[in-house]
Amino acid sequence: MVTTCVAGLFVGAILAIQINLQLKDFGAQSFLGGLSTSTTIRNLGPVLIAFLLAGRVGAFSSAELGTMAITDQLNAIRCLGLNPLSVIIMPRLVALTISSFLLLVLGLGLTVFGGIIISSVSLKVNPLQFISHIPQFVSGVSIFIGVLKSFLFGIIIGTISCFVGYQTTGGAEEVGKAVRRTAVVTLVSIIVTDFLVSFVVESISQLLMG
Amino acid sequence: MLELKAISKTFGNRAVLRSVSLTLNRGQICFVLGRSGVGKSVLLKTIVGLIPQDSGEVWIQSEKTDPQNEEQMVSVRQKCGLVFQMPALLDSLTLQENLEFGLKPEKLARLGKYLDWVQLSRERLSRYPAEVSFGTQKKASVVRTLLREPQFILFDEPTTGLDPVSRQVTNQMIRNVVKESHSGCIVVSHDVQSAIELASTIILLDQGQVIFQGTPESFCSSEQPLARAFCNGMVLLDH
Repeated sequence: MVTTCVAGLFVGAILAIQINLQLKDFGAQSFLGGLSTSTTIRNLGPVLIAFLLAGRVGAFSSAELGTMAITDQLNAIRCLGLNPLSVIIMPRLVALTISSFLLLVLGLGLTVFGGIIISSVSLKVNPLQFISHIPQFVSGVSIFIGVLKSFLFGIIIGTISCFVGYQTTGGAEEVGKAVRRTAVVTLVSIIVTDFLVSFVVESISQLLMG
Repeated sequence: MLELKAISKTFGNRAVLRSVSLTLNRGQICFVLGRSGVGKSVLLKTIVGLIPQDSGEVWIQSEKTDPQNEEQMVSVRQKCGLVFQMPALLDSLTLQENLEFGLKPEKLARLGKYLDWVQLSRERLSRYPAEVSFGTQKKASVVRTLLREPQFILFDEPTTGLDPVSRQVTNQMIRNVVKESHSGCIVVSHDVQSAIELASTIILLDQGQVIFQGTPESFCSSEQPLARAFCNGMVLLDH
C-alpha cells in the first residue's frame, strides 16, 4: 500500500515535470493538467505502478510458493488428500489479482494528486487550472483503458508469480531463479500487454471515427 | 493390503529403484533400511504418487493406483498417509491451524489422544513452526497425519534428528498406531535398533534393489554383508 501510494504520487509528479518541459516551449502550460493526467492514466501510470507491484508482491509470492514447494509443504498438502491447486494456489491467485488491481487503481488515482502537487509547488500552475483541463483530455474511455490495464496487470502479476513459484523444484538456488524468472516474465508480459491493449483500443477508435 | 509389484524408477542415467516388490497388511510394520541415497524416500513417494514410477504397479486395498490420475491419487492419499522426513508444516499457520488444515471437524475429537501419543503439549499448538524446535515440528507433522486416520502410514525417517527419549516416544507411537488403529506402517529408517524392536518385516535396499527381506531375527543372523554391517553397527553403537 505504502509503496503504491509513494509510487503513484511520484509517477504523477515525474510526468507532470516532463510534459511541462514540452508545453513551456509553446506557452501551453495551461493544458498541463489534461495532458499529464491523460498520459498517466492511459499508459505510463499503470505500467510503472505494475512494475513496482511485480517487484514487491509478485517476487514475494513466487519466493514463498517456491519455498513451500522445495520444503515439501505442497507435497504434504497433497498427502493430506487435498489438492494444493485448489487450497493454496487458487485462493492466492484470486487474492493477488484483486489486491493488485485495487492497488493499481489507488496508485492511478494518486498519480493525479502527484501531478497537481508538483504543478502547484514547483511548476507554478494553479491547481484549479490544472484540474479544470482534465475533463477536456481525460475521457471515460481513457479511464476505462487505465482500469482495464490495471485489471490485466493484476492478473499477470498473480498468475505468473503463482505459476512460477508452484513449479519450483530443487533447493534455495532454484527459489532465487524462480524469483528472477517471475520478475523477467512479469515485466515483459506487462509491457507487451500494455502495447497490445493500446494498439487494439487505438485501432478500434480509428475504425469508429472514420 | 498394500502391494508393490516390481517398481522401477530412474532419474537420468541413475536407476534409483530396480524392480522393488513388497507386501504389507494392515497391522504390520515394515522397516526399509539402507544407506543414504539408495532410493528409500523415493520408494515412499512412489507409493503415494508424488514420484511416478517408470514401471511396476502399486496396489492399495485391491485397487491399482495411477499416478497420472490426480483425482484417484487424492483418494489414495487419504488411505495412505506420508509423514515426511522434514516436518513440512505450513509456515504461515500455527501448529493448531496446521493440524486442522483441510480436516473434517469431527476428526479433531481424537486430537488429545494423538498429542499424548507423541507427547506434544497443547500449549505449544498456538505457536508457529518457526517458534518451536525441530522435534516439536516433527511431532506435529506426525499428529497431522494420524488425525486423517489412514489405513497405511508411511514414515520417512521418523526418528532422524530426535533425541533418544523422543525416539522411544516415536517408536511407542508407531506401536500404538498399529495396535489401536490397526494401520499398516512402512518406516524408512537408518535406525536398526528400532527396526529390530518394531518390525514385522525388514527390507534392506542397496543400489535400488532389495537385497534382504525377512523377519528381524533372520536379519540379525543374515550372512548378507550389508545386513551384517548394519547389525554390527548397531552392536558397536550399543557398546
